[in-house]
Amino acid sequence: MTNSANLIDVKPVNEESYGNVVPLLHEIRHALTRFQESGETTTIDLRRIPMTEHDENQLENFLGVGEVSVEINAVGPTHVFETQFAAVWHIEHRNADGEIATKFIMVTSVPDLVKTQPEDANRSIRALNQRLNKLTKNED
Amino acid sequence: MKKNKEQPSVDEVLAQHGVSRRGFLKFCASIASLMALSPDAVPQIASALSNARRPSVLWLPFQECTGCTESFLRSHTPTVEGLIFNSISLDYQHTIMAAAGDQAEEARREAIRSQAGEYLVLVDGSIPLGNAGFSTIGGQSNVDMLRETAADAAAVIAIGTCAAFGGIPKANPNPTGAVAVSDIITDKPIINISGCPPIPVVITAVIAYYLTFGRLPDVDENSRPLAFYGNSIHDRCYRRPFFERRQFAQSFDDEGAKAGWCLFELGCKGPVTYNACATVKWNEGTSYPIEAGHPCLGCSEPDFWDAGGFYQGLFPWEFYTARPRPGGPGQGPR
Repeated sequence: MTNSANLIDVKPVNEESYGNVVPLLHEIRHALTRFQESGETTTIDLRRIPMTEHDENQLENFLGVGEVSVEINAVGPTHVFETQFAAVWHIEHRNADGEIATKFIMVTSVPDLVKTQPEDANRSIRALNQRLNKLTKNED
Repeated sequence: MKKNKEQPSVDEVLAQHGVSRRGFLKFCASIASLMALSPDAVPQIASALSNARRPSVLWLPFQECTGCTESFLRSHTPTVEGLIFNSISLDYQHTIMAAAGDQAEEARREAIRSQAGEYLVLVDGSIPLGNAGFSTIGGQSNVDMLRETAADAAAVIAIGTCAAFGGIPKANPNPTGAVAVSDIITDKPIINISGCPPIPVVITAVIAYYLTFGRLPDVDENSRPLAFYGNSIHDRCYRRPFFERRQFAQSFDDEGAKAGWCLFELGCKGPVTYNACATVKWNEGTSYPIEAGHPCLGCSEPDFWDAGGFYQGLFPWEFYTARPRPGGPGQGPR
C-alpha cells in the first residue's frame, strides 16, 4: 500500500514559456486583416505550436470571451466561442472521455461545424418522415 | 466474406453507430491535427473517408507480450477513433477473435483470397529466425505466416518496437534470432509505429490517413510516420526550459526533482527519442512518463533495451551528436 506521506510533490512548471504567444497573436492579426479585406478564412491548429500551460493561459486571457458561445455534443463535447475580437473564434474539441482532442483558432464569421451539415439534414428528413408516418398510423 | 467494394463506407458505418456528420467532421479535424496536416485538409479527409470502403485488416501477433494489443484495446471508452477501428473489417486477430484453430486460420486465408491486393496487415511482435519452433501459430512458423499473409497485402503496419525493430526479444543475446518485419518483407510498403507499447491513436490515424490518401504517410529514416515521430520527446518536453538553464535533478527525491527540473542526468533518453508522448500523452491524455517524474526510456528507438542503463545519463558526445532530422528539429541543444 502506498504511504501518501512519502509521495513526492512535483511542482507543475506553470510559469515557464516557449515565447510563442506574441508571434501567434501577430499571426491572428494578419489573418483577421485578410478576412476583413477578402473574406479569406484561416484556421490555426494550436496543438502544433509548443505552448506551456502558462502560454495557453496568457493566450486565452489576451483573447478573452466575446458575445457568442456554442456547445456541441457530438462524440464528446466541443466548446466554441467568439473571442472579444469579433471573427476570432476559439474551438476546443474533447472526446467522449473529456480529453482535449484538438484546439483551434478560426478567423471566420461562423465556424462551419456550428452550421447544420447537409448530411445530418437529410437524415433528419428521413427520421421525421418515419416518426410522422408512425404517428399518422397510430391516429388512424 | 464481402468483397471490399461491397463493404459499406467508413462514413456509413459511423452513421450506423449514431455518429452525426458533425461528429465525423470533428474526427477529421482531429486526424488532420494529429497527422500535422493543414486544417485546410479537413474537407479532403472528410470527402475521402466518406467514400472509402471498409478495409479488411489481418492482425498477426507474433513474438510479443500482448502489451501492444492491450494498449490499443483498453485505451479509451468509445471515441470516433475507436469507432473508426470498429469500422474496419478485422478478419484475423487470434488473441481476440471468437474463432480458433483451423477455423481462425481459414478465416485468414479466405481474407487473403477474397481481398487480394486490398487488405492491410498489422503485425505486433518480432519474428524468430533461430528456430522455426520458437513461435508458431497452428503449427505454422511466424516467418512463414508473415510471408504468406503479406504476399498479397496492400501495405504492412508494424505495431510496437518488437515488430518495428525486433524490440526486447532481439535484445542481446537475442536467443531466438528475433528480427523485425522489415527484415523479412522487403517488397511491400511498410510503416513502423514503434513504442513499448505504441500510442494507440497513432494506429487509427495511420489507418485513416491510408484510407484518405490511398498511401501510407510520410516517414522518417526508421519508416515511422513523421507526424508523430518528427520531434524528439525533448523538443516538446514541458521541462525543457530547465534543461536550457542546466537545472537538473540529481536524484528522484532531491529539491530539483520536487521543483520539476529536467531529468536528463537521471538517464532521460528524451533528447534521442522520437515519439509523440509529450503532445498526445497517455492514459486518456493525463500525462506521460516525464510528467509523472520518470525519465524517458527511449522505448520507440531501435535497440533501446541495449542502449545502456535506463538510469545512466546520456554522455555529452551522444547528445551533441544526436542525429539531425530532415524536416524537423531534434539536433540537440543550442
